[in-house]
Amino acid sequence: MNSLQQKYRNDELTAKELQKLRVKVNSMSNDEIAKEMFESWMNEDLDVSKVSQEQMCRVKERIDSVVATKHFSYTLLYKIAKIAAAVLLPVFIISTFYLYKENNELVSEEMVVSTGKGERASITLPDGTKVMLNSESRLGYTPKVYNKEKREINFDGEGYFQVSKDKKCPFLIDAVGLQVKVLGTTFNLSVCKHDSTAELDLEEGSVLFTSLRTGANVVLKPNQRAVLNQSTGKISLVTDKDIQNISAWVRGDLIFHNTELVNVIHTIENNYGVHIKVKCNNCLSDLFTGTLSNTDLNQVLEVLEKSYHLKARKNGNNIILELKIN
Amino acid sequence: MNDTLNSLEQELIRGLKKGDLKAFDRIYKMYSSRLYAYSVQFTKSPEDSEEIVQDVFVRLWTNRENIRQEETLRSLLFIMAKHYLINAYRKKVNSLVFEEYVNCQEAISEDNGNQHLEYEEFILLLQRAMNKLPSTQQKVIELSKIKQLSNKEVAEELFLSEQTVKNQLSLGLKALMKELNRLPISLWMLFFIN
Repeated sequence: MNSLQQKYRNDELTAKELQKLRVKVNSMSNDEIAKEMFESWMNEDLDVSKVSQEQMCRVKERIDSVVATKHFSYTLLYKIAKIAAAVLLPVFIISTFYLYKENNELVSEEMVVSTGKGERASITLPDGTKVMLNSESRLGYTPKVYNKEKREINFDGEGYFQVSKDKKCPFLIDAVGLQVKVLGTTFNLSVCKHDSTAELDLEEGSVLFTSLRTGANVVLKPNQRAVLNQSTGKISLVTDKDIQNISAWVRGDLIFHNTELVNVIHTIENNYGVHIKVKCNNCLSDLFTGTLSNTDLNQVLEVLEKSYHLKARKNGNNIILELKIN
Repeated sequence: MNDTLNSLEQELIRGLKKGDLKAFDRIYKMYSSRLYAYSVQFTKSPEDSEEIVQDVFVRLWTNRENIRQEETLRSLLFIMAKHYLINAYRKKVNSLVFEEYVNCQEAISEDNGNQHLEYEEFILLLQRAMNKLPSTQQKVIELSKIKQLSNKEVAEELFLSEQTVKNQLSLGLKALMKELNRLPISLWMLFFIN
């Protein structure tokens, strides 16, 4: 029966023999077939002369690509890892140091919120303090140091402050000519580089107001106003029952009480982002008392027209108020 | 002689177990040709045999640690190859194409005792003749006679109706017969056609 398999292997079968072989193989189990095969494999003289060495080499290459890489990779990988560690470790240390420095620097930078003409802004500081900025105002602070031992900001313009209570960490505002120290309170601060005075109106809580020029300190109680004369550095305290008015700009109204027209015009310009030229005889020093809208420019101009016999001419953002003839 | 062979093999096995690539290379040189030649005898296919050699040696390497020192390489290689060989053997023995080959081969050796048709040659001629057929007939013959699928299965595979399959098959085989009869080996009996 061996010979059938042998004939099969050597392509010497006849058609009939193939049929016989078929029947036989289909009835045998794998183990039985294996036994037969094993016998011939182990003991038979196989003719290998026709096997191409080139072909065997190609196959070996394919084998090597699977085998050698696996084997290679463990020892090589280990070596590479060792070298990599030696090279990379100093790199890591240096870059960490560098990044740490950079990060620190970034954090040492100042955060600034500023508003342009006619703009308003709202800002919440890291400690929860809320500040509403009126137009042309600037608030700056350094995130890195803020809220550590003290909460310090520098400020120019007009802002409505609602400072979070923190007795251990005083809130400090640095501005031109003055410093305000707050513990937790609500107030309005108006201080402008170019203005002759600065004002702080306290609504709630208590603040320490310091004039940088004289060094004088004033502690304000609610409903008190401190007015700083920038040229003398002197502070005057005014008790104004209606301090709520001062923060009217937060609610949206422009309220004036015996304010020189020139300053009223200024305020209107700031609020609406327009430029107003007034042509009249001495009206600019007139004292104005009244409430103007901060959203309706036309209403404002109407009031001014009526109050001072003026006629308004608009040209984009430029407005001219001139004496009405007749 | 056997002793030296034995001790050489023992040394190689020891080296292999340790992961010595050089030992592995030597084992390959010793046995790859034999394994290849033996595989071809069963599979009748050079490609399949190359694959067997490749797989067996890769497995030999990856399982090197589990090899018992007392084994002989020869038997070891057989154990790893036998699964492939048995499968190929069963398949070929039952294949219609192989049967056709055997018929041709028998006819040829009867007529000219010297001439021996190699299986590979046979396949080549058959393939050439097949390629000349229109594509559907070709596909139908391939699935029906070579892969030995039923008419229903062929119909499903090619998205045709069973009747179409039958028609294409009959047309195709007739054309194939005609084509093969032109060739020098003109004794095709084409038992494809029942």
